[in-house]
Amino acid sequence: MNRRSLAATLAAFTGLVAGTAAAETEITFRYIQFNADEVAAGIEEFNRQNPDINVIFERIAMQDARDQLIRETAIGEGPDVAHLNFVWVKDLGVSGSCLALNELIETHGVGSAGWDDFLATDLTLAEDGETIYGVPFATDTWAMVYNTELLAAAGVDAVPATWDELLEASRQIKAATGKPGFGFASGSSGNAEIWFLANFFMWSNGQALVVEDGQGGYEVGITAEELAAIIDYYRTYLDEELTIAGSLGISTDNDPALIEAMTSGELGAIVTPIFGAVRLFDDWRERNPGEELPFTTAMTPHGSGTPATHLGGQSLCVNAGTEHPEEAWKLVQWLTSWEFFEKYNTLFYPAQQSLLLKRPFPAEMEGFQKQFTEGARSWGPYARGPAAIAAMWNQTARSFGSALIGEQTSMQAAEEIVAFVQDQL
Amino acid sequence: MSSTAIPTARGIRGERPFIVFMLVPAFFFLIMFYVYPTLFNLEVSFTDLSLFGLRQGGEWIGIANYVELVTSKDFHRVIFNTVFWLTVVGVAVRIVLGLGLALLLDSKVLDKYRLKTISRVLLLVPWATPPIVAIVSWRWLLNPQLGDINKLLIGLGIVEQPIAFLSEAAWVWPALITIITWNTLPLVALTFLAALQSLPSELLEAAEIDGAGRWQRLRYVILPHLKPAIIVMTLMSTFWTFNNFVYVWLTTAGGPGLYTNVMATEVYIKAFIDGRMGYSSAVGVVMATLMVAFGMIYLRFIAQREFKEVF
Repeated sequence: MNRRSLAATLAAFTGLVAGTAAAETEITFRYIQFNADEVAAGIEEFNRQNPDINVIFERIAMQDARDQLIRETAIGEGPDVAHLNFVWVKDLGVSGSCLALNELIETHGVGSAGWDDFLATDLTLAEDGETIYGVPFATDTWAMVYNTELLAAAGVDAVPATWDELLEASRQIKAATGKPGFGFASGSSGNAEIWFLANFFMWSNGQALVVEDGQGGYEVGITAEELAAIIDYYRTYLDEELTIAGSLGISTDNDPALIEAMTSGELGAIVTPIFGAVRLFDDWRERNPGEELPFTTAMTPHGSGTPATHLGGQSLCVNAGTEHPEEAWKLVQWLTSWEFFEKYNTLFYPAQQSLLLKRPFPAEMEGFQKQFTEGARSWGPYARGPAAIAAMWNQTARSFGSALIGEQTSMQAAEEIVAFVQDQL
Repeated sequence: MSSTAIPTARGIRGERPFIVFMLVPAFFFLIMFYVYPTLFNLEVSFTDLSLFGLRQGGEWIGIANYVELVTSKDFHRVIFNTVFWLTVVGVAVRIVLGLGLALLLDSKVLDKYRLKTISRVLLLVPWATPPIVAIVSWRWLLNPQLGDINKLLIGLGIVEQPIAFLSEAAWVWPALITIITWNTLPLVALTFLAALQSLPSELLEAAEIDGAGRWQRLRYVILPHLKPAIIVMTLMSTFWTFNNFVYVWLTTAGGPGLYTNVMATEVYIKAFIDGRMGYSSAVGVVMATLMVAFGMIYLRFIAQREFKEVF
């Protein structure tokens, strides 16, 4: 190749690159869940289908995602589309981090069957009840997974229906096998699971930390005595060694200590989100190919009311400072499509009723299906009220923690929580 | 007598514009990245600024954050944890073990078995390990179900049930200090070792001839010689430890409950979990004030030492 043709080739290549760069709009999508590889493949597919848009896929740890977005958007930075927990959306909208989406929804539509098809939309609204700051993306709830072999060994014929029955079954499992009956994370840091356990217990007894006061405001819906009884209930598992050793040192349901104990048949039961159960069953099948799954799923126990867990999940928010709202919205539409969930987000369930019908729960997940349809409630007043869920979550977990290690009494811890929430409201 | 010529006051006055000119860049960066943020933090500490209201700003509430802080029993515990457990116990353990390790590394025993070089290389391993790697590794080692330390203790018959080192009140602080010490001890030990090697052997020989035993040589010759190094390392370790966030947060996140919560983690919890930037800034101001007090002690010591060295 002579110099002239080399120069011509270089010029043509440079022009091609420049032309491509000019034609592409680059936007960023930040994701918080662990199935990032699967979702990244879905983003690549979006890029293939939309040659004029190039989506950069970013991953961030869930516990850092909210604060990082607030910090970035305060100075006009941050991803164009962010993946968030359901309960963060309102706060992020009010703080000016998330764009009001009403206009985009009206202009372009949303989801496979419109806005009303989405679940938990109350958590995406501003206090005016109209401004929409997020689009519900995926949903889940929690239910129980029991080891049927340990239940049988302990002579427990039916899965426990009440909290007292769960405690009694745990005692029987311990007596018959020496193994802990109910494993849970009672640690107080990070995304402390004890927050969920406390609320499940309250709700199934007709109580709640935050309720509407009937006059447009909010109040604490549980007394310190009732809350202290909940702390005592969970402390019984620790005192009688009915839960895994070191429960106080772990904070999340997917901690290896819990999952490994379940997978290896060393634990009677756990309470976990849908994807936690799916992963547990997959791991077990991988280790025991061809064998029958020794687990059954069931609704969470109840008290004087009915079983109740939270309708959890994640939403998508468009950065209020994005320079490319149209492209960002196109990405949101792809991420909430059935094609995306069918091929690239197989672990999570879409937060749209019409799409949920297309993804039935497998037989082994019957308990989750039942919990989802009969026993899952929205955070509702918790999210709509003036108290930040993260702050109540932290305080509850810390106070539980200090009572569970004996630093203060259950009553002192309960009074601390009630006073804190009251103050926030 | 020092051979360095000491400039006269007249000479310094003549050089003043040049000195000021040369100091401008350093002052610029100091003001931009230290003084301004410090003053801004001080201002925020008198407001109710919220994490969710960064754009709107906070309202002036006077000293309310400080009043709340001083009267909060949680904060009293945070101060106790920071000063006693993290700093006093943490630094004391490091200094004592560092001194012991330095004496061992300097001893003739290691020389005799040709272990001198390998022991010094091994000593660097914890220091070269990034804190996050050290913390994650230790968390696994201390895990009640899967950790090797519990397996070892049970295997040797020392305990019957696994110990939840990072969640039982009786164990959590010792475990935390063990992790911090493991990762940071080498610097202390190497500093003392360097000081030990500068000790003239004639002094020890003379003491030995005078009939001094091992203990007397340590007490009357070695320790006085190491005194400046011990003081400097104690003060510097106090700085690093008092401000430390990483070890506590990544190991226990201040738990169980708030049992290991220290000032640095309190700043984070209040700012980014409770969303109270104003209150968090007040905690930061108290923290900085305490550090300034330590800093004045440190500077006084260093200044005295340099003064003695020069004159």
